[in-house]
Amino acid sequence: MRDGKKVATRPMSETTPAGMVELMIGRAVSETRIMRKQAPGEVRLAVKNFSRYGFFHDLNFAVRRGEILGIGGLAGSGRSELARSLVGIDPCDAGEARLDGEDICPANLREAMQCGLGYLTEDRKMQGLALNLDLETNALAALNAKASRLVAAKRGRAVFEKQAADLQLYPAEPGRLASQLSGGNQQKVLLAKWLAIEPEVLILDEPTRGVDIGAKQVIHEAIGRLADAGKSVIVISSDLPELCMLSDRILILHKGHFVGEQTKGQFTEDSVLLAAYGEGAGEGAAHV
Amino acid sequence: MSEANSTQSANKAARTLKTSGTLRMLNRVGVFLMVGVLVLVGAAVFREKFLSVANGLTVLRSVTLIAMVAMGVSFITYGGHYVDLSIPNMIALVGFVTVSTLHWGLGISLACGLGVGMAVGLVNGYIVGYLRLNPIIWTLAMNFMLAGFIKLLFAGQAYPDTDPGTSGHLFLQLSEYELPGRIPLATVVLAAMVPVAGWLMKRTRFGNQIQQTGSAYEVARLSGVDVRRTVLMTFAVSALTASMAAIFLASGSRSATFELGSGYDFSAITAVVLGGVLLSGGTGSGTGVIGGVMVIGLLDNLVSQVGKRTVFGMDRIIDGGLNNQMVVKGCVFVLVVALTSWFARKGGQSRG
Repeated sequence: MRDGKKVATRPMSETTPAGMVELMIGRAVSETRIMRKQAPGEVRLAVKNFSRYGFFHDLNFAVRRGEILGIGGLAGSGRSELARSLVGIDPCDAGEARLDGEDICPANLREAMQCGLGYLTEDRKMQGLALNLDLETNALAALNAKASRLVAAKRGRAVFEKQAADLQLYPAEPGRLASQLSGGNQQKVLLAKWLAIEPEVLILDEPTRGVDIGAKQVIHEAIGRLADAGKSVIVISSDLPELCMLSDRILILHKGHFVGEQTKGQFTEDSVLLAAYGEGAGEGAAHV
Repeated sequence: MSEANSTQSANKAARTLKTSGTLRMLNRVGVFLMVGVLVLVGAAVFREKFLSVANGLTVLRSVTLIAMVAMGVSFITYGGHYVDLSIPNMIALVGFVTVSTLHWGLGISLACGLGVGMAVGLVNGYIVGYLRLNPIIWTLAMNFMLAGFIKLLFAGQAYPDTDPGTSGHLFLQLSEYELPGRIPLATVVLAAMVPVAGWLMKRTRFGNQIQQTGSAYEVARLSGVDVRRTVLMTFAVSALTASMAAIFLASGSRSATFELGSGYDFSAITAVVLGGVLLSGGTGSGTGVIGGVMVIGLLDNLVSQVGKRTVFGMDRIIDGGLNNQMVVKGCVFVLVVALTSWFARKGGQSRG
């Protein structure tokens, strides 16, 4: 089944995993690579000596224009905490963050959003979407919070329809309740909510958790488009194939410290995992 | 997946959608259906005694001030923080302050009354919004504190100086003045309040923030909504309308007493819930609240009519009008909350 329609019925003997994927997403698997148009440009977000004691310590890194920076590491390594402190949800104890050379030290999320940051949470159901509200309200939630007055109905509808088309949302009815959608389409609405504020730097925490393969592909493409448009993207993911496929560069966190930096061509799933366990420390890539 | 299965699930999905659509519809107009039914019942049982202009005005008068309080409370409920239980003594305090500052002039005393009420609301809002205390527990405590506070500061009752030409006389005019068609001033104020409240809730950023906060607090916070300030503001709005009601109440009873606002908390929240604002927050409308208040007013009226008659030869009921009203209101509240949470669960929202 695809988009509420039956596409094919095949006997068990004729199915292959690749064939199933092709039928499910309506395209050949060979197209599932994200092609990027340009190499990363100048530094946009520069983070120095960033610490929240007990969670992460003395982190230094930069994200460039048009770059997708992956942050790998085990759960509890401080990945989400780093993101939450960067966008002002949680406090930070030391360090600074500069966007385009300007010091941003957001006291709260709204300030960070007005500086051009966005943070897509890893917990869709508890922190991401208001499941008892409709799709449009959800998709415009961040935009309305960022703006100084309510987004006009007409403009809001236009924003929703553009995002729904870009992300192939199904069903794309603005009045449908979020709770009635599949996990994949809920995740698309969540992504739409953050794309709607047109952030300069978007931090995506587990962008495809609990999402079917078709939606995953759409979300990956959207992330690619965002980077191609000159924005900076930080992807936090436990999904190693996803992390390796998307990222231009991967930083690995281990117990609140960066233990490795691997660039495209250098890293493999094994090398990232090894570093995440605190072994191999980046150079591992050479041996694998 | 077989074809039969797929059509079956599609059918099921369509049916769920349809029911939720009907439910939403019912949620919106159901309260006005109840108003209609109550009017019909009243007309059938009590005939012209119920349908008279005088009785209509009685209902209107009793309902107006409840509606004023309920409009404010609906902001709190909409924002997911149930109700401000300190409203009864907030009303009493505002009544005392207004009446005892009347010798400074009407304008100043009204400002003092509203100011004190707002101050109480801001304290409640700060403590619930910023310090995250449970709204029920905190405002209940606040109600007790206010009760003690009033008894420390004021004698049992305060009467305004009502000689013609004094500000006390003007103060009484607030409740006595009637527009053509015998419409009380308070009703006019309420009529102005309804569209403003509706506009605030549906057409402003403030309303959007309340909706988000009420629907899912954590989600709203992580969308950049200043949830703490939003909660504070809902309590401030509620305090403002309760204070306005308090001024009309004190004017109407020609005095301020400890019991000035008793029962208003529960009447208001019952009206709010009847009007389709879910206790879990995030849904509802101003017009629904007015419908809810009308149901309460009509119920009170009907029950008090019953109270005035001797039913089954039991004389005790004669002076039991007020008690009967309380019992009926309590039952209606439980029934409505039970029904809405049951429907909500059926509609796939396990938030009831």
